[in-house]
Amino acid sequence: VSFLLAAALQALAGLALLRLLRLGTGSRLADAPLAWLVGTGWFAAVAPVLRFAAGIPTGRAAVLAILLAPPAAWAALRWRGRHRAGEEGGATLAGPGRWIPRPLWIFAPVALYVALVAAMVVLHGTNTPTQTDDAVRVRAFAPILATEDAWPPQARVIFSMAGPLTTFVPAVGWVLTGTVDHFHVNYAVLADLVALLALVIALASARGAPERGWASALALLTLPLLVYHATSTYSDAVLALRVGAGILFAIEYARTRDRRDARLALLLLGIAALVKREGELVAAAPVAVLLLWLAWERRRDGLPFPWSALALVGAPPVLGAIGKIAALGLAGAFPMLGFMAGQARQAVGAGAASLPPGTTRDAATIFFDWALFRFENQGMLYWIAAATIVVRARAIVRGRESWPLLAVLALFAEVAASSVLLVPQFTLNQGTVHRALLVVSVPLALWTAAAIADAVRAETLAPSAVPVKRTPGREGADGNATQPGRRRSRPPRRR
Amino acid sequence: MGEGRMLRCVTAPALALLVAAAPAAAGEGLVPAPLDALRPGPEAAALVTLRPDGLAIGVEGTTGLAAPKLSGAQVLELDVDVAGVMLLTWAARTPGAEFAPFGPPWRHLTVPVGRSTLRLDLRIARDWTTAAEPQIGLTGTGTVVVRALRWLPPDRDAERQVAAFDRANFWAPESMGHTTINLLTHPFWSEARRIWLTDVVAAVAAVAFAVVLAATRLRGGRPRPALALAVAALVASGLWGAHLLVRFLPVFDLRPTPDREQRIRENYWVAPDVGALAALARERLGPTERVGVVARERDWFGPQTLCFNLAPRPCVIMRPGQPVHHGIYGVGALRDDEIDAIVFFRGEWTPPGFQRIAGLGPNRWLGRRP
Repeated sequence: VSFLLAAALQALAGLALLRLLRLGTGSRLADAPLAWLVGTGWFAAVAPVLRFAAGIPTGRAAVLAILLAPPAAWAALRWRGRHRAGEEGGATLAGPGRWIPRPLWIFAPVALYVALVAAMVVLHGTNTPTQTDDAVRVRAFAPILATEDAWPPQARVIFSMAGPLTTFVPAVGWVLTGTVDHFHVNYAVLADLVALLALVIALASARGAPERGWASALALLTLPLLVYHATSTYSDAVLALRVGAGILFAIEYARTRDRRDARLALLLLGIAALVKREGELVAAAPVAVLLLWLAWERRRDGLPFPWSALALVGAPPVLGAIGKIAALGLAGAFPMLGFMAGQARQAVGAGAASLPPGTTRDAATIFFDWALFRFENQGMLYWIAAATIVVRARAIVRGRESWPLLAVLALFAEVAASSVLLVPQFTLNQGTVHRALLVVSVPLALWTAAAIADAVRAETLAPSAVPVKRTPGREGADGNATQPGRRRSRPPRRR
Repeated sequence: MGEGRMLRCVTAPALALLVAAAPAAAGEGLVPAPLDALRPGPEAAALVTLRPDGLAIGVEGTTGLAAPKLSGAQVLELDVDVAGVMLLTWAARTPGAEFAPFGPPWRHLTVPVGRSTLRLDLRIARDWTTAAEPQIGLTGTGTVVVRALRWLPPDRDAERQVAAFDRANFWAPESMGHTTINLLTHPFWSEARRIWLTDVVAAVAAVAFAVVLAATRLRGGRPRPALALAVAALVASGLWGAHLLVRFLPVFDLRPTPDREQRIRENYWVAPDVGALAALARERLGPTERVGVVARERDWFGPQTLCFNLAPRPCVIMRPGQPVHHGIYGVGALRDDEIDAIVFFRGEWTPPGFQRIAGLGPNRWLGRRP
């Protein structure tokens, strides 16, 4: 009950923030899981600033103040009648929804599988107590430290390793009710998985393409290591799911051209930076690609650089950084950056010579062959994604799905460089390589499912040579280069 | 040919693939074996006695048993009567191969209290061969009486043996251990021939792709590469999803368990005695008591898990000869005289001044200052 209360308050904060920022999907069903993802990000970004920079203890009053501030602001603005336009703007996005995927004889088993595996994960994840990590760390310990609110130096180190989101979000219910129920850490991980599943299905259905949503859910739940991780109290799944949510809206932006989708993508990726010590580095790669995309589009259209989008993506990590720097000082606030910089120095310096011969080659074999294509951890995703890229190469290059794919490839390059060149030892002993790939696999699964579903749809529509009337946000407007109707109706290329 | 019919045509062979790897029947030709075929290791000899009702095995820590007379056994089946909290690990010791009973894959089960029949498939243990000696490890506290023992000897027909080995591994549940979080068990279509399941599924999906592409062309229309891709992706995901269910369904705990104390007590899959002791400590120790955990020097899982589950009580992991003890990851410190209660989990030393108040056995108990 205390977790449900905490989740409801965080979702309410997220919903209010979405309204204040004039963001949203236009569908209440899709906005609800999105509100959880945004509301938890809000709490995770603000709580450490209050605690470490302002020195305000994160007791019940502070937690309630953080969580109720956005609804209060939203209510105040609503009362003054200033935000009506923004809400109406959000509502126009969805277009006519379609909730039953076709053909039903294919999607009924898919839905059954998704429901079955989701239920399995929720039950097993709820039933599984924290197994602890290794000889030095218990990651699920960080929220307990947030509840105790004492913060000796060692506890602050754990906070910087776990990240603000993983540290503060599971503690909300404990602080509010005064009771520590260790399973809240499990519930928080499971809530992220359920939220992303609900979001992909509701968003696609609300926008008239439920097939894409169910295909995405199937793609996610056939990733065996993600399924297993979601039942644990590790935060690798959380980071992967948060990055996936960001990429989901980048894929949507490619389709709808609605800037609100782009802003949501950037906001969610900014929130992903608050998970684990790796979050900032992981989120940086797709954010760079998405900003480049927006800047290029703006420049093409003669518009200024999208500073507001930059502010959105920057706000959560900047707040997180302020909290971390206040807690540990600049030197200790970003342990992953320091670690990677040290590894990079070693990789190009004397450290490279000290590695056994063939280390890089062996690590590359494990990464590019075993980890991607052979072992069970990532399922068949990389086979399917590779086939999709090959079969759809022309359409990808000509169409708009190339930018989200570039964002995923940037992530892939980051993980590949880290696994093969910077920390090959963790690839050789297979200690982290498969877990590290989850942040690529989740967004790639969403991209692949969307690319295939949209391609089939375009192919099915193709024989009718009638040009499809383009309405922003509606599925008739699928951006797809193989659709003859669209090709014919496309205006001459700008020179 | 309609699209629906075409899709059915390619999914049918895919399903046939799963049927081709059908699991072996449970009863497959087991024969009785004498109870003295199970021999204790030298350190456990005093704990094992042959009684009229069966082979009684005392467990306090880890008791190891081997069955050299049953070398090459594919399956062992034990009728047992259990009192206490116990984890059973089964493994295969093959001459010339490294013996790594804790995997991966680590094959283990929590032994249910009372009478039950345990079926241990040795073919799915690491490095099993037809020359492997079965090994059993019992970790926990209590007594096990083995009332009957049956085994499945190695098959003299080499081809049939390979097929049985491959089938057993294909249908084996996922092994849950400390390293599962890093990587899952490798999936093979044929473990004996080292044929990856991924390669087979990819080949089937590629055939599905080609069939749909060819069929759309033969229909006289334009080719449908996207449809072919979608069918291939569905076939691959479907087969993989089915295999995921095969591996995870048997090991996932799907009982709705509202009581969180019961979850802690019963659901530490790799260390049921740690879970039972943690639940006992949570029940018996006051919310403000300061706790010290005493465990073996090399044990990291037990003391960390116990301290974690006792939070928010101040809890430290005690080391002999140190005046100040620290908590998980060095957070928090307590002097000897500040500790109100101890949780003793297979420790190699006992801090003075504590009286036992409750316990699971001689090496797993709670103590408090008198």
